[in-house]
Amino acid sequence: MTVGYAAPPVVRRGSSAYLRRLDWVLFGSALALSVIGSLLVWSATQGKLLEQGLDPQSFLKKNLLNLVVGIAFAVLISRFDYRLLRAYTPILWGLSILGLLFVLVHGSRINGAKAWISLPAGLSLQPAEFAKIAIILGMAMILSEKRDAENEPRDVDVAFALGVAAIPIALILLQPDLGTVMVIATIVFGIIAVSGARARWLVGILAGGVLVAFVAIQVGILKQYQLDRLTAFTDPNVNTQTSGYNTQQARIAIGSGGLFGTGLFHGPQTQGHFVPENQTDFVYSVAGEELGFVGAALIILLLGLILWRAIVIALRASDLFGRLVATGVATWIAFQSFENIGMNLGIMPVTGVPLPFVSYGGTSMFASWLAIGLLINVHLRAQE
Amino acid sequence: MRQPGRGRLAALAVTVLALFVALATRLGQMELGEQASSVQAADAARTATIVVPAVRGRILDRRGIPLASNGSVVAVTVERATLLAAKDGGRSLVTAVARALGLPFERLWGRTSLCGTTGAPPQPACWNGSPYVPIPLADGVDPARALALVENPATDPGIALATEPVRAYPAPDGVNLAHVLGYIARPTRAEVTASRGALTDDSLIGRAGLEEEYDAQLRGTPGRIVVALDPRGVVTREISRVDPVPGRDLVTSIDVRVQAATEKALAAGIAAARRRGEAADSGSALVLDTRTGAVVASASWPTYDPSVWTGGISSADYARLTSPANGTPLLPRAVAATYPPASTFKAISLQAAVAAGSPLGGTYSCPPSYTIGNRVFHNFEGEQFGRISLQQAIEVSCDTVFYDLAYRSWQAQGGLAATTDARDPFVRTARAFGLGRLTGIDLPGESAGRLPDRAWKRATWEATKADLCTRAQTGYPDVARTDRARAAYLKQLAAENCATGFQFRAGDEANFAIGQGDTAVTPIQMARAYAAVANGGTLLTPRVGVAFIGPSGVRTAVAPGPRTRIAVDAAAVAYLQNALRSVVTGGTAEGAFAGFPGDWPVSGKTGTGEVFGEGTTAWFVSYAPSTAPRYAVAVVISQGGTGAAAAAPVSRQINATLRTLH
Repeated sequence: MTVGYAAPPVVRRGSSAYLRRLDWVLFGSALALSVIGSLLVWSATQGKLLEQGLDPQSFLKKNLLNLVVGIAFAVLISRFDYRLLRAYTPILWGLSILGLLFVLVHGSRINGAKAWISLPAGLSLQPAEFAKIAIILGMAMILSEKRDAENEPRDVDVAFALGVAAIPIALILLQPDLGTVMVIATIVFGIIAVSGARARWLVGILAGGVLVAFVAIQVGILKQYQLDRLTAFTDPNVNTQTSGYNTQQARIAIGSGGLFGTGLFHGPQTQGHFVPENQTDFVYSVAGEELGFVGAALIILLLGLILWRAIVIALRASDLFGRLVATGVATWIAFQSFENIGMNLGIMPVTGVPLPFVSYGGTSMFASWLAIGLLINVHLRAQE
Repeated sequence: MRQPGRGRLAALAVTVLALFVALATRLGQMELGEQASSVQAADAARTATIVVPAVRGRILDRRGIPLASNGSVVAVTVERATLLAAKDGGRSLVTAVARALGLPFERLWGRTSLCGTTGAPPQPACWNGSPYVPIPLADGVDPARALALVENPATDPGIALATEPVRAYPAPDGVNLAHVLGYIARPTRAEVTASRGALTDDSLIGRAGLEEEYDAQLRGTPGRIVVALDPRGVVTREISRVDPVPGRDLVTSIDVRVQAATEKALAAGIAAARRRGEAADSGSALVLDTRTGAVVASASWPTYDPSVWTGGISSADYARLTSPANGTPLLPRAVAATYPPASTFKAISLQAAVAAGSPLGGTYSCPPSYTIGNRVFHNFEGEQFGRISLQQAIEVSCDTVFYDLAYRSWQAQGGLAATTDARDPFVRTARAFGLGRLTGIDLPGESAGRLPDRAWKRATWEATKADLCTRAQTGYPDVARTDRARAAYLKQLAAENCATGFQFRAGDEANFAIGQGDTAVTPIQMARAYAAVANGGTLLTPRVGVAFIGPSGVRTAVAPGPRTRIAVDAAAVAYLQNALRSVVTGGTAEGAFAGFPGDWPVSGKTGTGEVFGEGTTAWFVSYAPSTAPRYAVAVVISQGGTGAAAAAPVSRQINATLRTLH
């Protein structure tokens, strides 16, 4: 088996070869999720828009536009020169830091967090989403460079990699966007684990996480009801009165779906606007009510397929960089999906992270498809 | 390449699988397991039901004249959404409304809180109705001021006018009829719960009289509006509507003309008795159709204005209506108060005596007093008439004749040895004529009265003997402190009653025969008994309700009560009818009816009941016209003096009006 860092050849093939070698399960699952998501966003918003005298399809149209742009990004990044990608990583990282700084100064505050940069034409960008990609690429670069793959990463590299992640995490904490921080922390842990770093690093990071969580609870950042919700899964009869209006309504919506749901556009909870944010963070409740168990479980299945492909791609990656990138993407989508669906089901605290591919939101859609692009890129490299 | 982290990737895969299986499990649990409860929670969270009360049926007199109908008052309302939308919660808006109506702000502001919510003022300041209807900030407001407020373009469109239904009492010919009509009031918490949604806290239900008796028919069926709510609880749209079905009108047998005359005559009779120095604290007068048992008029004194119940009664008014010192105006005396029937009972006793074997054609001694054992029973004011016929005994109301009849009957039954009432003609006749039991009239709160027969004496003795026997030992030291003689008498009486209180003695029978002692009857019972005398022995069930008229005009008759044929001695009844006529033409009621038109002959009997420590109860029970009876009239005035002086003139006035009907 060829080992090492010989500069990998740039993928320059014809379109037919590209399409033939594309991971269609991966691409198809992401596309299916995006289409289902568009339908859910449509159903969740058309009534509200109609009442306000606006175009009832405007959210659907924007979402489809986001999807097309996202797929274009994915195709673009999947065909990007691998070496160039590594070379540009520091620049990407720096740009994301600039974006995070900019949002702290000039950002728009939505739902308590200063996380959005408003753009003309009603568009907005969320730099934290791109920061996830910058962190994945940055950490993968540091942990795979200047080392013999036979060795464990040097402690100094691990520390450096942690530093690369720590700066954007600190900036995102200032927004504050606890949900995104939790997602990034999981990505960091996943990449360091798969990089082969010594177990003590993992134990240390875990211990640090537990310590931070403990302090957070002690000083009241995390509330008792959030902890109650975390334990609700083990006891479905736990008092739901404390779980807040939003989750209460989401749970009612999901619970009333049954096996096949009420049908798209026919969910009383959804159409009655009882679940706030049901085109973004609580879009899963629309699936639960209108598409029922079958539709909602299909979303879990499709996400599972993407993760299965991502982990297989990580395993088969031609080099450590690719493996770590794929690992980062896998932990990202895995944890963010679990957190989002979990909070819709009332078993995770409400932290405000979107469901990849499904939730409405340009940045989330772009970032999700960029992640797919990265996976495809790694996949195509491995087939060389 | 070496595979660093290969095992860790596998661990990642397993972790992801575990987390996603957990999600799918939880999803299945919620979608398929908890579905039913979630759907119910969803429905309850999204909709609310507003109960729309039906228009209450009216109560009409026998010719269709409204006695209780529906009026309305103007209310100024505000939409809940308007208050929620206002920055200051609507304070400035309510202030403006209060100023425009000239009412205190606090009173209006209190209404914006639902009763029972945090910060809400106590009832009735808070709003006790549905949270999903416009809140009436003020009701019964001056329509002109309210209109000016709402028409003002500067006024918030959330402010509107509404009319609220209230019970109205047109009082035709000035009739009051409060005791027959009853009243409507809010249901209790328990009634609301038991009604399974038919009643709400702001419903009105019948509480007494006809309003209570026929509440189900009068109330109608409430409508229901199901509305959708947004998450703030503000109504967004109407989902479904079931219109209320109005209540049915109740046609009664009350004749406004007779009722007005009856009320006036009773009030005048009481006023006259007071002028004579009597206490005349209360009374009742009623008119019964002798052929059907229909109640043509019914009055009770003291009375009250039924509109005090409109919009909820104040505690001061309620205390006034229920205070005994005030004469308990709320009490419907015609059916709920009992009095000793006194000599009016002789209509029963005469038939009993004949049943016991006394000849109708015989003559009977009427001495001034009659001694049974060691007790001396006197005639009223010590009168004596020598040997007289039974007709004369009725005419002049000679007690001693009836003492003798009762004593001989008592002896014939075996005296003290008789243990049952089965063979007692006096008790049997009284029962046959409906005394001592409910008449079954369609009015709530009726009293059964009391016949102090052998069974009653024994039951009373069983209940009181422990106390009596203790008193027989200890005496009455508290009474002895002020009145030694009375204490000694009471102690002896206690000793006697302790030992033999269950005995039905000759004196008991004598008292029974003249309607004294523990006998207690209601005015409706006496009117009914005399109606049975008038119609030749048919005991009727008194009825006020005649028919219901539905919203489309469909008429449904009120089910009549049972008619019972009494096993009377026809000759005795005919004899009694003559005797009762002679009471008016030449007996105790002659004076009261002097000069009364001969085309309306009245037959009746006076009664003057003695009540320990009080003035006498004045009675006159009659029927007319004597030749072809139509109406029985019972008049009683508590502490009114003699029946001839106090009650008979009231009956005369009522009969004067009855005469004009034919």
